[in-house]
Amino acid sequence: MMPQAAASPAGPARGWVSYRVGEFCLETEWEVLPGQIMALFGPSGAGKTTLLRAIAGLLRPQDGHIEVGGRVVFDRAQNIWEPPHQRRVGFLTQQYHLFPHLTVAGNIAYGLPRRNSRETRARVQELVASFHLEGLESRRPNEISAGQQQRAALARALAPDPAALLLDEPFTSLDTELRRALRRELRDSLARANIPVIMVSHDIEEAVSIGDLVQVISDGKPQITGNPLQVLGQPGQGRVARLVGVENLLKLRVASRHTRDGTMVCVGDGLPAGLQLEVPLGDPEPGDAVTVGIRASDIILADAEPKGSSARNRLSGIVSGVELRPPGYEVTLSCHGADLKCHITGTSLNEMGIRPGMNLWAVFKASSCFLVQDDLS
Amino acid sequence: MRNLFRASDYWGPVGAASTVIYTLFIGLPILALLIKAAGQESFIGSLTGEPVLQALRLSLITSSISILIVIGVGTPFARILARGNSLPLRVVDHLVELPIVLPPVVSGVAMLLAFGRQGILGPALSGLGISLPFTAAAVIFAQVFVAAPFYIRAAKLGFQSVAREYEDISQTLGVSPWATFRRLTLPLAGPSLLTGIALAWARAISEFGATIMFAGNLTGKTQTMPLAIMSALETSLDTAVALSVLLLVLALLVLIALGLITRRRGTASL
Amino acid sequence: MNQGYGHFRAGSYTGGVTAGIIIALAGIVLTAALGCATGTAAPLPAGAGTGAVAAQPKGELTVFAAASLSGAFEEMADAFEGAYPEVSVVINFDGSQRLRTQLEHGARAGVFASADWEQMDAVAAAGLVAGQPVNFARNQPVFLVNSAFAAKLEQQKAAGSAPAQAVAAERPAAGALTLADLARPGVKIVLALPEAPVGRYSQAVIDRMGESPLFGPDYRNRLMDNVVSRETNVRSVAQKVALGEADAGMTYHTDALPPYVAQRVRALTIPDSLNVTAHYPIATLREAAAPEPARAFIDFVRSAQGQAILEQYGFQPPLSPATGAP
Repeated sequence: MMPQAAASPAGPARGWVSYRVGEFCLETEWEVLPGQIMALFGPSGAGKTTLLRAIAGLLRPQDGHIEVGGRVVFDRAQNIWEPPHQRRVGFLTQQYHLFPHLTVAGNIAYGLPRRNSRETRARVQELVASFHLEGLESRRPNEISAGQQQRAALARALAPDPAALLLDEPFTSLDTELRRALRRELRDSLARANIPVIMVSHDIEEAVSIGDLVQVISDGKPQITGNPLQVLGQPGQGRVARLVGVENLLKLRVASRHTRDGTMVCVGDGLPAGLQLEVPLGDPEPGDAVTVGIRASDIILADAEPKGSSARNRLSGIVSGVELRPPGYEVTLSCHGADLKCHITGTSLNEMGIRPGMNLWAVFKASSCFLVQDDLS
Repeated sequence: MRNLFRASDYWGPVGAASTVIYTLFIGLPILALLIKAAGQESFIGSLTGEPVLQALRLSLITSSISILIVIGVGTPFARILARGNSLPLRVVDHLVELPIVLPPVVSGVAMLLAFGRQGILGPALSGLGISLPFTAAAVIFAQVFVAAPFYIRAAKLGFQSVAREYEDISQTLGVSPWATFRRLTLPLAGPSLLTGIALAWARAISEFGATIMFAGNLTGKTQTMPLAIMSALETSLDTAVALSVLLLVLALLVLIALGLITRRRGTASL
Repeated sequence: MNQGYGHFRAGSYTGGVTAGIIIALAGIVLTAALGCATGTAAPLPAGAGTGAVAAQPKGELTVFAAASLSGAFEEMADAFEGAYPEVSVVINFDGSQRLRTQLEHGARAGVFASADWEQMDAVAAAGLVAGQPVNFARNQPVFLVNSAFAAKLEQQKAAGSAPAQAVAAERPAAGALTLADLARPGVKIVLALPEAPVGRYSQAVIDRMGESPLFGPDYRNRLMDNVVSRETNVRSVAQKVALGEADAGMTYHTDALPPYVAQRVRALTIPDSLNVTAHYPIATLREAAAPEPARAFIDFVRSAQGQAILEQYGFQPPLSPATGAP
């Protein structure tokens, strides 16, 4: 039915759907190009997973039009409906759902025709190698780690050469440290596949660090769609700001990479010297421009330089503004030409006696910083 | 014994006592059967009589046909029950279990009232020249009636234990729904299905009350092993004991086979 | 697997509640359908037999009685309890051969009332009988034929052999169903197990019919070919014929009398020359927990009052009230 070695038919994944069930109503549209990753961001219950299921054919919207790999797989007006097994849409669930009765190799081979042929074995070997699963081929899913499970599930989804790939919160099953480490790996794998990818996330940091394109979805409706900077740079829209909630975006330049610590040092780009941040290691090379995001609530304010702290980033600055921002206050700190927004409680504000003009230290961990995918990447 | 006590500090003594009591409670009657059988000079002799062989043959044939019918009809049905959630389906779900708790004689009477010559379907059936009571078909009817719920129940739970996401993913990998059922659902639900088959088969081959009510008791035609045991009891305990031991051995073989299969499957699916 | 069992139990519990209700319903329907008619005659005055007894027996009395005695002995027990308020009677009805097996394997009872001497002798031979068994009633085997079946067959006979019958038209009930018709192919006959008294009597009667010139040489074989089931006791035979699942069956004369059966069956009597008589013996048992009530019960059965009850249910008085097989 599907030639396993054939290249994926290049074509965008796009369409629109209207799906109602009870009170809930999903009305959205999308377009993702081959090689592009769209991060679908929104709170739980926003309709993200529903949309993925509709694209995969696992549920049937009342109305809409869905194209995958240049084919129309659903169009209500034209009465087109392809069942999921004919759509060639890969699907990765939160828990990966590797088939427990099969080995890792058996799972990867599952979607391939002629399971015992030489071509199949070769294809499985190729995927095992490119997803770093060597030596685990004959293990059962419960005998490998969560990270390995994610890779195996991805290999399984990509084995039959899907025309598009859908990822439903692929990092939920992993612990925090592993998540950050695996983001880059996932991006690399997906880049090689060169197909449209839609990834659901309820973590904005994850969404902006993986997505080439971010769509913020809430109550079944898309709020904003664009590249991560566009999305993060529009907190003016109250609803998006609340959903996205990243107050600090700093334009920096990579100064040096520290592979052993998993960090890199970035300095202010076109700003006075002195602004220097340690951020998690990413793709960019020294000299590259990067955008770093920090949540206002991740920043701690101190009235003296903290000694003996494990937090890698300590910046001194001058309070340039204090605004009421229920339930607390937003303090703006001018540090070496960059404005940092920090959220603190009213009690802290009173105890520290924070007023405009005061000299304070902003402290935050390297891991609180994240790289925002730039339009250019 | 020491392991038993050590296994759990809190439950140790109580657990050990109840284990011993229960084992004796179940074991003693079975042991008594075996001792009685061992003491018989004519043990083999009482098993080779023509009525015994006929009963054995009839039991094996009818229970095999019954179990095939149960599997054939019960599997798709169980699958629907496992996934469906509509009100009528939930009502049906409860009805399915009724024969488990009905006294078999009641099942037999109910079958007479439905399929008997004077039953609801009686006129229609006799119009077709079919008369069910007192035939081997009636034996199968009775067995299916009482045994099917055991299989359907187990199969339903088996199918429910297969998370829907597995089947979704299988389809997104290009595998058709039917192939998904064959390659994924069946293997994953397999141990439950086998348990269900064994339970249903055991129930079918030991079926007595509904059979004697609906199918009657005639050597070579409707007299299955349990009926033969009952009839033998009227005259000679020896023959009855020999037959009982035969049935016991058959049941034991099935349980052992099942244990082996599920254990292999069980470790395989872990 | 363990998890599976957990579900199983939880599930069957909720199922059990519904099921319990349905069982109760089924029970009601069943009773109505089979309508095992029990005697409803008014119990005798309480003082009836008291004067004859010096010391009032008391306690619980278990009676093992042949299935064919069901109606009669239930009323007998009521009347007896009326006469001896200190005694409560529990009766276990079943095929006599089964009762015998139960007694041989240690079941305890005060009185055994059998439908034949064979079972009584076996129990006596096992040393379980105290004193001498005595006859207390007689009964005769009959063929029960389902009324609907009889009517249909008679219709067929009338239609099928009209010209032939025309000659003998003056003979009364020319088209009526007779014992000879039971050997027609396709008639479904149920008998009791040959081990049960009624089954043994049935066999004896059928053998005699087979030898009789009245029925022709292969009558016996054709009749036996029509047997579709062997029931454990006489009540089941009567039930199957009354329900219409079987066309005919051999029971005692008394089994045709309860209203539910009487309305649905026709009894074909067997010519006296070919019939046998069932003699019912009764005896107290050695294992009796209370010998006085047991003896009192047997006396009561043999008293005029007891005999009247038996007669009401169609039993005949014993030919020789004395002991031993006649």
